[in-house]
Amino acid sequence: MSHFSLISRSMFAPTRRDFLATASCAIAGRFLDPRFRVARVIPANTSLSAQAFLENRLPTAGLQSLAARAVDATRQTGVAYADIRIAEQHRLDPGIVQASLISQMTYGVRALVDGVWGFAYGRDPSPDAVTRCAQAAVAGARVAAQATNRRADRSSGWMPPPVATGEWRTPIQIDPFEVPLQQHSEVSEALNALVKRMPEMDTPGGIGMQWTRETRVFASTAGSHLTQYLYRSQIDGAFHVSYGRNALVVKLPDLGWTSRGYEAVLIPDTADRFKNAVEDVLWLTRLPMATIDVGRYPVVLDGHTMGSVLLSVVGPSLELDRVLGDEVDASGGSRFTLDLLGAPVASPLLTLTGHRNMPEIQAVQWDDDGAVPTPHTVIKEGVLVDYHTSNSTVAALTEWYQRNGKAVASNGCATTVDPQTVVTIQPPHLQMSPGTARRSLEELCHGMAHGIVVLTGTYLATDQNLSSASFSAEYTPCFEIKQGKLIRRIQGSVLQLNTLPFLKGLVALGDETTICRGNQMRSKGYPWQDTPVSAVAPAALFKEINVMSAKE
Amino acid sequence: MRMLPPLEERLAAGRPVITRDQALAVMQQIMAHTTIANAGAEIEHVYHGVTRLAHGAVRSTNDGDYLRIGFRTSRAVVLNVYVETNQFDDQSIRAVVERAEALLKDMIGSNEELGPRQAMQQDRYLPTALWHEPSIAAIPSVRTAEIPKILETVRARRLQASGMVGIMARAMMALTRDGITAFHEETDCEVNVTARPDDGTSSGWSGQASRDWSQLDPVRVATDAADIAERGLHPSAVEPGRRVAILGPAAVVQLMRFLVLHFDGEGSDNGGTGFSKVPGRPKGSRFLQRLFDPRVHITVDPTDPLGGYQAWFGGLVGASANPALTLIEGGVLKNLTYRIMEIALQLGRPYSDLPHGLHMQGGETTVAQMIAQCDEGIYVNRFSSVDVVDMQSGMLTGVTRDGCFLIKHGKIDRPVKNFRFLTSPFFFLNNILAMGPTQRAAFGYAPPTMMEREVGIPSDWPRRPMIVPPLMVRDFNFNALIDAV
Repeated sequence: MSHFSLISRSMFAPTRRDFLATASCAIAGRFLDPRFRVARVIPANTSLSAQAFLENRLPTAGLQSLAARAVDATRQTGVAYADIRIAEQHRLDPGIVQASLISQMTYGVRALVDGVWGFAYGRDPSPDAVTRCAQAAVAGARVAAQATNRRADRSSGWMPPPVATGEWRTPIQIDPFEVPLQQHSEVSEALNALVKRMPEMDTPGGIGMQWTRETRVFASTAGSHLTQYLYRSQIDGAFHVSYGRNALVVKLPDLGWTSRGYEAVLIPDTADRFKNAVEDVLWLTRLPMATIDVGRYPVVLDGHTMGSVLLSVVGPSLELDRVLGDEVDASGGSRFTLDLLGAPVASPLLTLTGHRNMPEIQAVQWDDDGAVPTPHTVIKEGVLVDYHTSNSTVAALTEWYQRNGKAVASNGCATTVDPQTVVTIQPPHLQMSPGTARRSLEELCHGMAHGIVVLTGTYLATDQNLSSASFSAEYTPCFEIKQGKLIRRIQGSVLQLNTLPFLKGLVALGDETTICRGNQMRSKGYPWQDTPVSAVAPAALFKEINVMSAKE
Repeated sequence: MRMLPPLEERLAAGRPVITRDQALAVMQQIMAHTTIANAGAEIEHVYHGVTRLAHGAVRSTNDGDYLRIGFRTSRAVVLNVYVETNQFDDQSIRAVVERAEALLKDMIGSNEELGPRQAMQQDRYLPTALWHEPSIAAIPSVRTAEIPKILETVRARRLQASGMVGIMARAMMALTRDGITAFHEETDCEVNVTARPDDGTSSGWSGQASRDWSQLDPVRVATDAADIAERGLHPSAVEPGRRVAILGPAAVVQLMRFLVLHFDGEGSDNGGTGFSKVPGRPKGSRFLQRLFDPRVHITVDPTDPLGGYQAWFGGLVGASANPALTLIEGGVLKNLTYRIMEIALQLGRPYSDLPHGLHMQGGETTVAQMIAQCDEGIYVNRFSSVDVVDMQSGMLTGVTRDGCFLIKHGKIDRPVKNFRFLTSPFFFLNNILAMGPTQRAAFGYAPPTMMEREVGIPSDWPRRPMIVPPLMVRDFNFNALIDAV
């Protein structure tokens, strides 16, 4: 799998060159070519890791005890249901000129009274404080329920997950908090040195590494007691290559946001693969830049850009709380309304599944409702068959599930990054199936008389119903293709799509060699909270996209 | 062991967040633990009390406070280390310092030199008065007194209410080892309501925001939202194109929020904004050039009674003063903000954080008068999903939402389907036909865009106040219809 795909020079020049399949960088200093080693390493106590001075505020048993205390406190109030998430989180950002370490202990209690959720949160790890927080959640729900003066429409919508007890640990190989801090620094410095030694590279750009370790405990009045030890890595490396105004971004391959440990950066051949990637970008920056006539054009999206469409448009459209109208005043509604269940919403070529398995950033054993996430196909051969659900919403699908012989149970998409924030539905890791026929990105473009290819797109504007989306050619590299050849970079244009017609116009898919991984930070809730999401997708050819001028 | 009183006790005492004295005690304790000269500490304590409405009922309540205590230290060969906790007790505060010093000892620094130590400026902080007791006093009664009225007002119109009612209180302090002390406290409140019929075919939104709860009228908000929803039933499609647009304050604020990005002096001088002399090239900025309609006058001022913001910035590295500035005067670019002191000093330009909020002067034409003056145009209640298309031209795209109407012969003719638009402040602020009275505009749901995240503009809820007028502009580019209510 490639982390980014760029189009080969064979589309521009007669020299045949294989399409860039993949690139990946060895990050750890010990794997790097010695000439890339940092010359000014300051000798230090290399045995010291973050863990050495990062004693946990509370042992796991302490967190579990507090959770039990909160559950007891809510039980005594007689509420129908209540649960608590309590977590101790540590985040390490080991940079070159700045390192940061953020530790927090937080909890959030929610209580259900007559269909109204009361939510209260806190950070004081004393039993009394947790008890008060639980009581505040119940009190908030009761006051709000009285204010409502009637049972909410979906008061009976909460379907508690099966009672469960257990522990789960993200199956990482190397705990980044046990790695000597100097090694973290060396890695960052070595990567930066690698980039700086390439004369083609511009600044700004940079490498960001963030390691998160969390102990999260969930308990509910239904009797569940769950403990998860979660690790997440968010590693980004993006650098600018430019020639005049034609600037492109090269990313360090095979990194990204995952639930992996320090092994995430121990990838061989970094230097060579990164250099190859830069080389493959350079010729694109030498292309002339010009506007393209407004109109409708066939378009090929590379795997990155297709992934961005999934993350910005399709995935959120399938969040059942949006579909049910719970977010109409905020993030908005959905074009994939309930009446479309069982109907075609895309080309038969599109099959999309969601899961929270390793090594994706969303990987958990239990979601924030306490349910076990299940891989689920949401669009099967173009037909809408399911949504991203939680225990608060899945009851709305009862009839559909029963008609299709499926048990009525949440798909496990309830998420809160921090127990201090409200649980919402977030897309799980989205996985779009590649084409079965062998077809590269280049081959997808090959049959185009006049069209567009979009590479490494991440920047989409949408609307409140996710019924449309828009790429800016200023931030998303778009290239004009004539007779199968890539001839220039497009500037001064905006590419706009209407979600359903666009998805129905999917003409062909790239094969598995065109698959790319993408990440995004998504906002939801009110107050809004950020959640990292991810997707993998192949390149795809669509019948048409609307090109408009970006000039006033 | 130092503890904060429980939240309910603090609420009862009218102070949900730490006081100046409490903050100072914590900051001084941190400084007492460290021996490193170059050190700064910051504390931020925020209370949120939020109620969300959906489907004509309360959907959820959300109450609590969060705390951040951060400590930054560095050594001569630059290595900044930052350690943060959310715990208030002695042990955690001591651990913050110990962890920072351990990190500092063991990490690798680069050979880049620190810039000159930023000047002490605490005597230049402008006196702000952004804490309003009525906002704290309202917290216990909002859900029992105001929420039922909102729900009932909308329900009486056979519509469903969604929305949020929120109150925030914040206290912040920064302290450096060389003696700078900065404190900030503020309250803020927002009420917004979306009204829709059961079938969801129309949507009306209204919102109000103020530092002072007593200035808000939740029933008025609910009534306005219901009015718009009723008038928005059965919208018809109108051809997109360039039209006269009458933009309500909630629409204007969604555009003006992106103008903040352009006041970045360093970025502008380097060719990255609409104020740059040459796009993409480091040729400086277009100071003293008239770039907007002569009626456009934009200021920023931490003491602005309608909005205001923190009087200092960069708390961990010296808490420099945020000055009051005239950015645009008579349509002419007067000032940009420079966040790198050396550059600001060298250029003789203001050393300041990016504007947290803009205050744009208005006119005297009411929205009703604008409509009466309009032969044919579009009234836009609100924009949504706005994002940058091109920073150098200021181009934005977004969509209309929650109230969009065709105006004909001086009257609202009928509701129309929503549009996507493409415009830039550098265009529409040159096409002004009329300006209304300026006011604090509620943002509603406005999470950060990717660019706002990258630039580091504060974009958590509640958004920093912006004061804008309604505008009537010509040739507004509604470039496509969208299939969204």
